[in-house]
Amino acid sequence: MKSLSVSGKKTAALIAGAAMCVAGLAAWAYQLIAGMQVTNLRNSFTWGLYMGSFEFFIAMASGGMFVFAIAYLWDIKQLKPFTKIAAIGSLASVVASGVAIFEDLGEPFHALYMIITPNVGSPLFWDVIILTLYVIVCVVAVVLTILPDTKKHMDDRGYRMDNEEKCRKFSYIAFPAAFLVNIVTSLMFATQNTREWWHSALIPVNACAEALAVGISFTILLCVIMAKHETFVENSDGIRLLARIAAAAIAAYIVMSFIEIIPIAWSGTQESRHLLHLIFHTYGALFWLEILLPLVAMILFIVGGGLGKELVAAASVLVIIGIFIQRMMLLLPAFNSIPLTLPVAGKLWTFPIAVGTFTEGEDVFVRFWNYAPSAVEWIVGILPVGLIVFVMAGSAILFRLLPDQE
Amino acid sequence: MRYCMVIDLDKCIGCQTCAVICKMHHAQPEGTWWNRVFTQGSEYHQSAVGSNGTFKIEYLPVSCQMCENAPCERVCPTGATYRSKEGTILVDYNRCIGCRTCMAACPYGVRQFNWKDPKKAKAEAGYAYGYPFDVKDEGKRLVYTQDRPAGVVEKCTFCVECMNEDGTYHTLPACVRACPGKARFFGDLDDPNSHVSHLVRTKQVFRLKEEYGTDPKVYYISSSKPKNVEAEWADQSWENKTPNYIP
Repeated sequence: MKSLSVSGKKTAALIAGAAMCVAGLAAWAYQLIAGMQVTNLRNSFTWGLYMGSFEFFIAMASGGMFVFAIAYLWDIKQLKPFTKIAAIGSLASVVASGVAIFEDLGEPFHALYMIITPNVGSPLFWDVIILTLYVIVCVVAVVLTILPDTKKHMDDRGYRMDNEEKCRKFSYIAFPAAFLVNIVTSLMFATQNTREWWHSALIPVNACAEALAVGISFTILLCVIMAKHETFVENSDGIRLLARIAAAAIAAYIVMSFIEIIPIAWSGTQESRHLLHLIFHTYGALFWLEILLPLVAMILFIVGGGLGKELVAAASVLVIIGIFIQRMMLLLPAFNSIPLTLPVAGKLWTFPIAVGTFTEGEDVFVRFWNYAPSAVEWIVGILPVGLIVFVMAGSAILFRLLPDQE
Repeated sequence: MRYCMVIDLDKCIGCQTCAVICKMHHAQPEGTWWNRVFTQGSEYHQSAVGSNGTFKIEYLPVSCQMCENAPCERVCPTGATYRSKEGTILVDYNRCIGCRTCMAACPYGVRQFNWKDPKKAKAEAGYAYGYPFDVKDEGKRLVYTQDRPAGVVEKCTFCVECMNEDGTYHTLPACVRACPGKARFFGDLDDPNSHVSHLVRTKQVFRLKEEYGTDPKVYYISSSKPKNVEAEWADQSWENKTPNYIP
């Protein structure tokens, strides 16, 4: 079979991204018409794949902006070839996160009320504000990095130098923004004192570490996919530096993940024991995957910075899968640890919750909801992924994202 | 004015009348329950809990606790969930975006999301009932309608449709009226002469999950059923028998 040319691959990716978007949009339209009963979410388990994806794409969006900012703030020459791809990756991811959160709304047509009658005390309101600002930050970063390419005729007059100074100045905004978007988003969880799994001051800090790990891994993966072998080798110093930063972020993430569990284990209450049972028993496999996959990636990043494209790509994929699982694990034990409990005869008794739908032969009141995304949820969930693929493929066709890119 | 409810657990017989009348009166679709009653500690309703000959049955009705420091109100990004001037936590269906953050924040699991269009759901199930008129708080906020939209959150309103424009009630909430054991009491907590204030002052009352700082306005009069029914009855005569309050 004849292999595709580089431009053929880009076009194929563009078409694949567009197809994913169309499928996702069609499923979303179906969800809006039929109601959210088509998801596997119910009253006791209100957030699932969409919210997990939202959290995940926000984390992914931070890494690129971080790469952009540190490259110019500290004038790290090895990273400058990647700033364009990093900025576009961030923009695509943050737009994907916005789409994911809209997919989760039961009544998205009322969303304007967040502006008309905002509740400024709500963490979600501030999340929307910071997310909107972050989109603007990403757009500006993309424009700044792409501008020299679109106005090549000005290169002779030193346009690129001027733009670099603008990039450096803009990095003072981009750098804190990359962290702030994660901190504010995770405050939506950390402020909820009725959910033991979320109510931790460490969650926003850990979210930043996770964001760095997955965001940088995503940037590395984009470079691996889009760079020619020679370009990759030529810029391996930059890749190695990114891999080391990602490895440090993974180490911080793993340490903090266990620190978060210690106070829960220490309290020794029946509620805490139930929560630990959910984390280590019911969802034990997922918990260890969210730890072990990034751990393996960390080792590969540290020892294998120069091991070649395939290993670096594999390590990046492991981090992306691991952090996606972590984002889902933020939800799974939390919702199945129902807050209304009573001690009865020395045992913890949970007050059942009405699921909100009726299916013959199934319980209407539950204490545990075995959540797994429905088929419709998976297809709707493809939309943000398709959007990222489409934007990256389109950018690769329109712009020169890496040096020597065809 | 702060409306509150007091529920006497000694008088609750677990008959579910309050849950059913609430469901009927507010046209709740199948699977949705603003009010629910369960047997504490039991896997199955109306089944006793205990071992070695010491059993008891104690019911617990739970609906919106109308918290003074309501987490649902604080997290709502559009202000759809709000506190009325009577202190009741209500949902404006026209503003709710269905983000379900309030459901995640509520420790009592009382908030119900319309996963399906309620009107269609009821039509498919072959029934249509409920208070038929829309209720708008302060003339603008839609806080009750017979067929709530799909994709929004709903819950107990302390029967806002029974309220006059001046904030007084022309009829008591449906669950209070329907309770055959007269276990429910409703009134103004700010009025020291109201029956509910008297009950809260003089009875052994508790509120659910006070440790979350939600400051609920639903009070439960502790059951005086002895913890060990058979032992209590064997050891004490009726004259000397004293209530054994469960803290």
